[in-house]
Amino acid sequence: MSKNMLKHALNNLPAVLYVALVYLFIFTPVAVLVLFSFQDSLLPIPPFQGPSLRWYAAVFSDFRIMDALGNSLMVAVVSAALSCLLGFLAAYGLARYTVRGSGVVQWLMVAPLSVSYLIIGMGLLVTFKTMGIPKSLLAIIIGHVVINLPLAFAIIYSQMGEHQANLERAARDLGAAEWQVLTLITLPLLWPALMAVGKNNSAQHLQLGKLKVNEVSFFGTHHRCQGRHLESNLPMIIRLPQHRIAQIGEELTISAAPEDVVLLTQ
Amino acid sequence: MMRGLRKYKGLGFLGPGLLWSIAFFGVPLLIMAAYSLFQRVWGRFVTDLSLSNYIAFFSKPHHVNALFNSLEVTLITTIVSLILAYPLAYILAFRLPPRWQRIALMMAILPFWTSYVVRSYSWLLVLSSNGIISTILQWLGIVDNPISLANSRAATVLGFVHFFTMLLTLTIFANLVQISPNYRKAAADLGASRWQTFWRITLPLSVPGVMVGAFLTIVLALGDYITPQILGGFREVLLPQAILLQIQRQADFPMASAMSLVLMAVISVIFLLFSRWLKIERM
Repeated sequence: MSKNMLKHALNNLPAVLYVALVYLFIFTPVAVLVLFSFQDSLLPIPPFQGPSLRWYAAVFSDFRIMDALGNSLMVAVVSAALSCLLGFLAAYGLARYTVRGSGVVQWLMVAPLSVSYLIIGMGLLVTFKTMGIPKSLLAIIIGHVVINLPLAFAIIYSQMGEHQANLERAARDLGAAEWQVLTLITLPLLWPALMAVGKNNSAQHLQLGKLKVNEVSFFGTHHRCQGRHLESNLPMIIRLPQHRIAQIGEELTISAAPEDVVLLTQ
Repeated sequence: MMRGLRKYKGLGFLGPGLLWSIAFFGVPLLIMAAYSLFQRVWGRFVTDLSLSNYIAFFSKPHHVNALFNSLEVTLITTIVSLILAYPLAYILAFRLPPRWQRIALMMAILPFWTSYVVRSYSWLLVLSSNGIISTILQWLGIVDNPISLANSRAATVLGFVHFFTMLLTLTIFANLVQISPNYRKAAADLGASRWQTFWRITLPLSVPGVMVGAFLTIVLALGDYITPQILGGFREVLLPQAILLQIQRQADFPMASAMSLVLMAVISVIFLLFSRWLKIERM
């Protein structure tokens, strides 16, 4: 190991230690749970006597637990599908059409997010009780959709950009029916966005003219130049992209990405 | 003609979701509000409107205590979780090579995939009197008899912190990586030290992420029934436990409705305090 690498490692040591400790905290209960699910005695307490699959055998042979598992799966799948469908339609309607009072609509859609699950559940309980509807899996599904619909809507809505609207307009111009636009353009475009792939920013750069370099210095990772702007004769400091080197007296064409421009006001 | 039609089309797409939210969220809230004005006398519901449930709530110390216990536990949870999560999010965002970032994030949210019940129960295995910590302490000779760390406020806070550290790490990380690196480069070019760059550039720009995460933490912690029930026990009751007690032991729906609306009022105040940072794009 070279001296530089050692220094680098020592610099990072506190950070690495910190991350390790937090991960230990996060994973301890989960690891304990998994470990003691293989325990070969009646109680899930140390010392560990195992490994054994007896508790898994017990779970899979207990029809009540398997019934409950089936119910959980059914509620999860149905409520997730309903939330995504309703959330997608609402996000599409709000992003693509001018809707009167869209601010209110948006607020209404995400309102359940800002309330505890307990309150949502209590409201439904009291309502169903008033109407004489007994507790059921359907009631659970309804409650889960109330909780998950705002999340589905917010995530999908925030990913529906303007560039996508252009493609949809183009598809309509070329004679696509509304359902074709939805299934052939909107959904496929939204898919990677939903999978949380980073956005690719290829916006236009702001052209700033030319700079005559008077001085160049190396700043560890990049070079920095001092010079004068040819058109205005203003003194300027610019930062070169990594791996770019400039000579004294050279004339550089300078530009800035829009997100680099910071306006300072008092 | 076309334009008018398009307006209705938008509503057509919005309709189902909006109706769902109104029918199963808005209307139930109103019914619950009406219920909170009723009373339950000798096992029957009396539909005379009065504020007696609210008066009863604020005049009985054990109810008001439940509210304050909830607020205290939530405040401690939020602060401890923030202190743990911010450095983690910072290290993940700025100190880790990108190819490790994905793995580290995946690992951080892995326990998210289990439910409240499973996470709380697994903490019980660690904290109970014959659990891991007690056994280790006895083995080291630090304590002579088994000690139980469960059934206490500390256990509830621990269970909460475990979950909300993950949640806050995610929201803060998402915010930190959105901050253009140019701001930090500019600060460094203008001669700021690493500490100054953090203190005057990165930290102020990450406030929205912190606030969104803190708001979600507060709302979810205030309304959670399962974690205090499994880890905290009944030695100290939090507001959600008190509400469920009204239903399970007394079948007093009007009182439970009134207490739910008190909880909602508290959350609304917190929402107003945080509203300048809460944008739908950041949720």
